[in-house]
Amino acid sequence: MTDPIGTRLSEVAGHYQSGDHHLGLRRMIDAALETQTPDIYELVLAFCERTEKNPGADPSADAMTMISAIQRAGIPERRMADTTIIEVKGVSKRYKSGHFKLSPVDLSIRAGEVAGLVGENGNGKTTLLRVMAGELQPDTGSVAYHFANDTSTKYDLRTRLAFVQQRIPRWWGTLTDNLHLTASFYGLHGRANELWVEMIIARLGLRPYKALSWNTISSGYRTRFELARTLLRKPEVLLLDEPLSNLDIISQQTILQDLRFLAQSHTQPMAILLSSQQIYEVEKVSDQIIFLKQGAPIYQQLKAGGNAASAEPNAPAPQAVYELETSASRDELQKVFGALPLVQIQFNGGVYILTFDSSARSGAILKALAEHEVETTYFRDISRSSRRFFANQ
Amino acid sequence: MKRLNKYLLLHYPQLWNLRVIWVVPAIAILHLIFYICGYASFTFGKELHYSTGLGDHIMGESMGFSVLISVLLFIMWLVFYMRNNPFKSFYPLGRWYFVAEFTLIMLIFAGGSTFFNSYAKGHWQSIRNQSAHVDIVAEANTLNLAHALIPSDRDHYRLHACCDSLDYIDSLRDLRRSIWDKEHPEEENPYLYNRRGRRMSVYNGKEGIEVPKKVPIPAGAVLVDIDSAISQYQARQRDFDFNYMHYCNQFYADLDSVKGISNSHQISARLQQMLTSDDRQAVKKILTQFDKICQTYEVNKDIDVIGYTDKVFKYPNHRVDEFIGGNSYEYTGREDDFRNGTNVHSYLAFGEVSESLSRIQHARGIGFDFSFFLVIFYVSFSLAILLFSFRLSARKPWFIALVGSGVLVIVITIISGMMHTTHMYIYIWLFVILLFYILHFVFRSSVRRTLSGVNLVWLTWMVPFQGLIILEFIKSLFTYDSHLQKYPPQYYWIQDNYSAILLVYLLVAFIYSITLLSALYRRWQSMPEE
Repeated sequence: MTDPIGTRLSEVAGHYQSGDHHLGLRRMIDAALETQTPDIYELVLAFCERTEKNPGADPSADAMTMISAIQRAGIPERRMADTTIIEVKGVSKRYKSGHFKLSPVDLSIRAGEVAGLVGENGNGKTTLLRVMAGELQPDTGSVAYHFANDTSTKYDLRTRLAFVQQRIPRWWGTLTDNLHLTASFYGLHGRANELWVEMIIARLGLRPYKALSWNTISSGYRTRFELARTLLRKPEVLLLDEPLSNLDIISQQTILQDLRFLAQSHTQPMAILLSSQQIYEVEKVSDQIIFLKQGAPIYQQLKAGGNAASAEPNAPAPQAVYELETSASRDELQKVFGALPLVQIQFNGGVYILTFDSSARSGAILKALAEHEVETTYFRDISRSSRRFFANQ
Repeated sequence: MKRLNKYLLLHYPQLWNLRVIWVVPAIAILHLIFYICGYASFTFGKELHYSTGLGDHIMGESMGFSVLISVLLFIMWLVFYMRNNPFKSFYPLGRWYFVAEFTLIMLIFAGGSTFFNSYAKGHWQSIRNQSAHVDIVAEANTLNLAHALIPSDRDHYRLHACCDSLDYIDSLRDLRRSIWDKEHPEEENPYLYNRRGRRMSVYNGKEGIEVPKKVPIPAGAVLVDIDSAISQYQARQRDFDFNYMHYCNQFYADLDSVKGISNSHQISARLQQMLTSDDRQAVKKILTQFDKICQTYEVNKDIDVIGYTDKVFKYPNHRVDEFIGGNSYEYTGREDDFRNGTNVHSYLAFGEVSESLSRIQHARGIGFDFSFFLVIFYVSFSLAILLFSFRLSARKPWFIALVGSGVLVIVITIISGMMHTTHMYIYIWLFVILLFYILHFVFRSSVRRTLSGVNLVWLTWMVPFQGLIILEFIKSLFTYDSHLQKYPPQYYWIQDNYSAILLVYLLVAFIYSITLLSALYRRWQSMPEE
């Protein structure tokens, strides 16, 4: 049996030693949150303040002291380990107005798991999320929630479901007041409330912005604050509708990585389902992908242990599919790949989608491009990515 | 303040969200300001007999400003209160959340809409404090004697107005009543009054009645005989014999039941005693005291009160030949001038003295007013229901319900008007309420969220009214007996206890709102859309 806190702290120490202070701090806060000890929260928050006051100083030594303190505090027993938290069976939905129809979807997500929901606009991502959040009644099928504590009424159930919508409703009043209010309604009072809010703010890198108002922060930070408010609720299920839409590329990667870390919390693991157009970024952190194409689901298992009803991970892809961005024409590419088992060339959104027989290897393709001196600005293997579904229109 | 605000945020989020931290002190301070303004608005003197307002709780001059302040306060409060809605955010809410929320909203509405009352309270307190030295009984007796000594109303000095005459008419009327009661044991005669009832003063104001010849009442008299006897008696009035000796009146009668107040007979006896014994000192003393009272209350007059001492003594027959007016516009003059068509414009506003004494007496007697409490309870409950429904439902069904209500009221009014039936309005509303409840049970298991939301909002809005409608419906079930000219006793019991019934209903409605209705909203809010 591995020591989860020990592993986590070794990771933190590694980040600090290699100079990646930002990631180190985020992971340190994760570890501190696992302890569920107010004294540790105070120590970490004081550490945050020190590092902010001395931006030029090397915080590594100080960080090691923190790591030792966290190590000493230890962490409580794991809750709801590896259990399925949300289970969707045969959920379909057709709107009275319009022609859209969400075909039956089956899905289950375990605690600590991240599932990605991808698809083009108007293909049912938000519909599925709303059904799962209890906002929309499905025509067929059911959604079952397996929470640690039973929920006696529908309202109680909704208090346990955290759903962050794409269009975040405006916050009124100061940002921190809103966060404290949420924590307070969730039973955290006094000093515990202050510490918990400060820790979540620090965890999401929002400390410099907490004194600002809703009007003075960008839409990206609004998303982060909304996420912070949601995390204060200590949700077991987190449903996120296009959380990356307002974020820059760096923030997208950071948030996704954070979501992955938060989902895998030892003491408070979450099941996360997020919809996004950023396929590659989502795939990096997801255990499974549900691609919705005209309302019909296509399942993609990315990591072992996922529950999507699709092919096993690492199973050979039926075809080799690549993305290529080049100034060469289609005819020139046909000549370049003449010796390879090329099946199809599609031009889609400024890039070519090259489909080869499954025997083709990326090395051979790159070699052919180099031999013919084709100017290449971008090349990616999407054989196992949901991106390939976008191409097959 | 900031620390307290933070404390509430971290420990009592509901109180923080209701903004009690500023709205309660704001209400308290505004009440204090209105109280002080009310207190300062009164200056002892002529303001006692100026008309200053509408009643015990509402002062005319403060009402508009009070409403304006209330509206501004509520708008400001709602701007903050509407910022966060834990219910719609699906935060876990405790068992007592809705109880506390509704109660506090009601209290805020009650407190924030009654500034005029504090103004009135301050005003009345100021009157009480500044008139603490006033001996109302003594001043009322002085006023009543002065009113006899300074003639202002001819009728009081006519022959028929003397005590014997009034007693005789009273005896006739008493006899009439006893006969009526005997013949109609179950009925009340609305036209008969008690011996000292106001109705008698109306008769006093009519023609004089000759005293010496009393009309004999035959044995076994019937009503018509007595009515005829009274008519005959009144018809024998004669001449213009205005005389101090006829005076038998209690000008300021508000304190009739108070110990130490002289009645009309005592006043008459005292007047006759002073005049017949030529007691000028006593008359002068009374008029001096009265003059002082007039000065205290800054009564409008243009006569020399003390100088009237000599005018009172008219020997040998105590004839009154000069009257003054009750105010500067009233016709005044000597009786001779009256006959000759020439006027003398002298006046003393006795009414201002009595009005001043009445106001002081009233100020001293003001206590808890159940009716006012009930009105405030009802209004704040209704406002709380309105806001509560908005907070617990959603904008769309709430506004649809609002527009629908307007349409419904118009339609029901038109239908009721067309039916030409007295109680049709009640029956239709009762039907509508029942329909809302039936629709609720139809919609509760379906997922028509908007429709069920509209219905739920309507159900909520009907809560303040449905009790009244049911009560009116019950009253409409009792039929009027045209023979007995009255309703069954139950009808009068409801009427007599209307306020108490309303209070009980409001308490039941309050409990209903915070329990059952809240549960329905909780269920509705978590209902998925179709």
